[in-house]
Amino acid sequence: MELFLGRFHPLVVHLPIGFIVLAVIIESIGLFKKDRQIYKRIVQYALMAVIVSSLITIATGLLLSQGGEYNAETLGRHKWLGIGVAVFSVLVLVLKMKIPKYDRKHSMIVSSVFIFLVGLTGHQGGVLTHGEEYLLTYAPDAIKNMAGFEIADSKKGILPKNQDSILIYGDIVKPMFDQKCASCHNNDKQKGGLNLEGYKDLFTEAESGYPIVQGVLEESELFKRISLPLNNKKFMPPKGKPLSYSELKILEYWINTGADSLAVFDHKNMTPELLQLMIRDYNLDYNPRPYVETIVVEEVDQQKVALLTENGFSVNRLGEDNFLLDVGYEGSIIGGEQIALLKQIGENITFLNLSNCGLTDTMLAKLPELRHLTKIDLHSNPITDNAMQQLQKYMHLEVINLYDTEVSDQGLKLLLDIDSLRRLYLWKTKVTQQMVEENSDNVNVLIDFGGAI
Amino acid sequence: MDILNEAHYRESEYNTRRHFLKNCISGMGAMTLGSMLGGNLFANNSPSPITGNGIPHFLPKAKHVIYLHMAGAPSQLELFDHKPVLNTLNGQDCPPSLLEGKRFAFIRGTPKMLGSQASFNQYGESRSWVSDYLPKFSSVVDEISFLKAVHTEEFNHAPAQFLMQTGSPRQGRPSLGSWATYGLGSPNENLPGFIVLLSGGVVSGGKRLWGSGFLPTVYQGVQCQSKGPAVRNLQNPKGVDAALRKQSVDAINKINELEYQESRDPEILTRMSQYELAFKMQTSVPGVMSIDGEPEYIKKLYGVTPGESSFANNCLLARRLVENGVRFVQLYDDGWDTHGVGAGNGVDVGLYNKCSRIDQAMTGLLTDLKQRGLLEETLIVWGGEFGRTPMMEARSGQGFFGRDHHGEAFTMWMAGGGVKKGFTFGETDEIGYSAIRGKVHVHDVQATILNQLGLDHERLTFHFQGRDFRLTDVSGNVIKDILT
Repeated sequence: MELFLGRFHPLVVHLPIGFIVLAVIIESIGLFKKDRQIYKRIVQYALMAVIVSSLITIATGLLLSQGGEYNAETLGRHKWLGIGVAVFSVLVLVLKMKIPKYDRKHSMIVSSVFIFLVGLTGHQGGVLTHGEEYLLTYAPDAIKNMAGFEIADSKKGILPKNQDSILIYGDIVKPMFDQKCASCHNNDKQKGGLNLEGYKDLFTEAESGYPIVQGVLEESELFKRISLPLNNKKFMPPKGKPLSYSELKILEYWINTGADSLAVFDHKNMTPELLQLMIRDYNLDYNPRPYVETIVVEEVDQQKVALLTENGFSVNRLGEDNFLLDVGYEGSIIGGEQIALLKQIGENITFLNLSNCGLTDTMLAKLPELRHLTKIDLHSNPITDNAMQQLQKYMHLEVINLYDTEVSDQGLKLLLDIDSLRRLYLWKTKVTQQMVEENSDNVNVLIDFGGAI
Repeated sequence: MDILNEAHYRESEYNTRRHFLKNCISGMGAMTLGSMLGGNLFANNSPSPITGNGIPHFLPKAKHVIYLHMAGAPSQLELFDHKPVLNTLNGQDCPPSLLEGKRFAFIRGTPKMLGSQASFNQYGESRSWVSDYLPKFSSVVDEISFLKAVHTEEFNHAPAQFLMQTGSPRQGRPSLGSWATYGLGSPNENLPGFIVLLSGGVVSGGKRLWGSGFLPTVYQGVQCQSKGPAVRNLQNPKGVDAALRKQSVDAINKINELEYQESRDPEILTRMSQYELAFKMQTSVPGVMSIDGEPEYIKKLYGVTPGESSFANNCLLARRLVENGVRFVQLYDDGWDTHGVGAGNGVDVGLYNKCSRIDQAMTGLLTDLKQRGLLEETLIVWGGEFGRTPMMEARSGQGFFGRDHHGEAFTMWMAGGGVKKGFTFGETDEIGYSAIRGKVHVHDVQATILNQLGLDHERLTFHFQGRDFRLTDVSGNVIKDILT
């Protein structure tokens, strides 16, 4: 009942304002007329109307303030200014009736005070309902500056560069709340008792329940309200742009994973859909990175590189941000000593090409440990199954190219034991079609058998 | 090092080709990289860890690119973009709403809609649409990422080709291959890093399509031919043997080196390395460029025609070049401009015949690269400079089925080199007129190609005439949707 009547406050508030303006206008006109008595009489009636209507306004206003949605400080100012207007109008009425020698000067002062008081009260009321920034949000920067507003930096919304350090709350959820929810749920004004300004406030009970319950999406009232059908009365936000599908999904992910203020995205518990949405809408790719992109190695000694290049190897770096190497033998015949040289930079080699250089099983046996080897190209060499055992040593080998070698079914069996293996090239080898077909249901390894002979 | 050795070393620095080349290559590398990376990389004066190669910005997915440019612009509506609704509208007047505010190269007045002349089917596990114009290609669609909604602003051949290949519709900018070799260098010292092969006729854009623009000329594309001498003007004149040629090249370069010490003009280094490269190419190129030694089954796979400069021969050459470490191989096949101004120039018979000349070759190229494991590290790009209208052009008025130039939506495809297999991105409306989903611009395609080579298109810049230039100028987004 309180709130029912209270909500008439914005309606009736315009009555005393109207009467005051009327009184001021008539008073001003009266100043320049001869029969001032008539004008004086009208002004007196107007003031009486002001007093009556402002009493009603004050009453409804007090009722509305019981709702408790408003910032106490602004509310206090608005309340006392409003009461002040009523008191002042009583005072003026009394003065007007008691003092016969009421001249122009008095009149102008009283009118000005009236206008000032009403304006100030009205502004405070506006701040209460719309928030402090409402009036000047679209003002030119110069005016904002004069009013002491912070001028928004247009680059503020851009996410920081390194995607692994993007905080779900700080970089995505909070800015989203600021943009779409904060006009009604902030430190100054808490519709439904909900404040979305601080992180802690998200877990403070509001009128309809806890906004967010860590890890329990179904009990998080905030998520419930923003994911209702658009035409539902309880749907949030009631006006303005609703949250996008991606934003809902991010929020869902964040709440489900515990809603930590420092949480970051982790592909291990993201749905394929969310991974796609992050790429589409935020240009952030959280798909698991291949092993090769996760290796961190030290820079290699340049003298060692020089030693290898002098011995017929090409040594290429694989990016400014890593020290991985793509090494290949450029000559037509390789020797055991040269293979042993690879040990010098073994830690950094991830791609190795020893194709078409007369490589034999015994030479390949000299291949040192290469901890980060992910791809090896050995095509067009007289190597046989005996060399395949050697390849089993490399824990992260994903691609093996053996086309045009002597490898047979036996070797293939050994190769398929390499857990990390993903692609295998076996065109022009002694491996039989039958053997390849037998292993075609192995979803991990893609065997290319070629065929155009 | 004692004083005698040092003197000897000093002298050899001036005399031997090896030192000479080393200096010139590392000098060039330092210069280009220095300008590329703002000089941070070589600030500590460490020598380049690589023999003449640049360092990519990030881990590359592809080492090589083979770009198959169908000059003249093939019709997407007869090859890949299946539009049944357009077929039902065949012969009806084009509604004015499609023509308002649009400019066409040749269409005037109200054209009629033209249904597809080809019949379509879905192939592979990916169920990709391919027409009966490309029967062989339909067997390899599971290797392909289709871009169904590429768009361009240009509707005339030469400007559109320039935009596609250099990032600007006006001539004079460095081409895609030049940017790639500028960024990464050439893996093979004996062959140019950027080779161009032509078939089917003269390309409208001409040689500037593979020019290096304001980049050092060492990065311009070298045009090779599969018929006659592989590279023109590379043979020694009569009475000059290899030894004499070497002596003269060394002598010229010695003078050039002195000149460079004084003037520090980078073009001198370019010229010097060009002489060196040309000399090496005299021995390396004839071998690489000869397809005679290929086994019969490979020739059959591509459908080569010995002694001709055909698209099939060029495809086989492209594989050989990539195998030998060439960074960027650019093929132009001209003759795709199917306006329907004559019987053999329409999207029916004319286009069908044209397709039959590339179908086997490009399918063979994909198959061959794949079985050699080269598709892992080679990005293949296929496309024209724009697409063609769903309306019939009817310029000659004789009722041949032709289509006008159309840049709003057309199909390109990529394969290998870290793009998704059996994937289609983008969609056009019911008549294939404009993009409704997954619309990408030419600059996006270019950004994606550089990205696969490990280059950030926004950082691969060259300072010229007071500002930093880049291939994609001020736009371009990597099409992440098609990447693995």
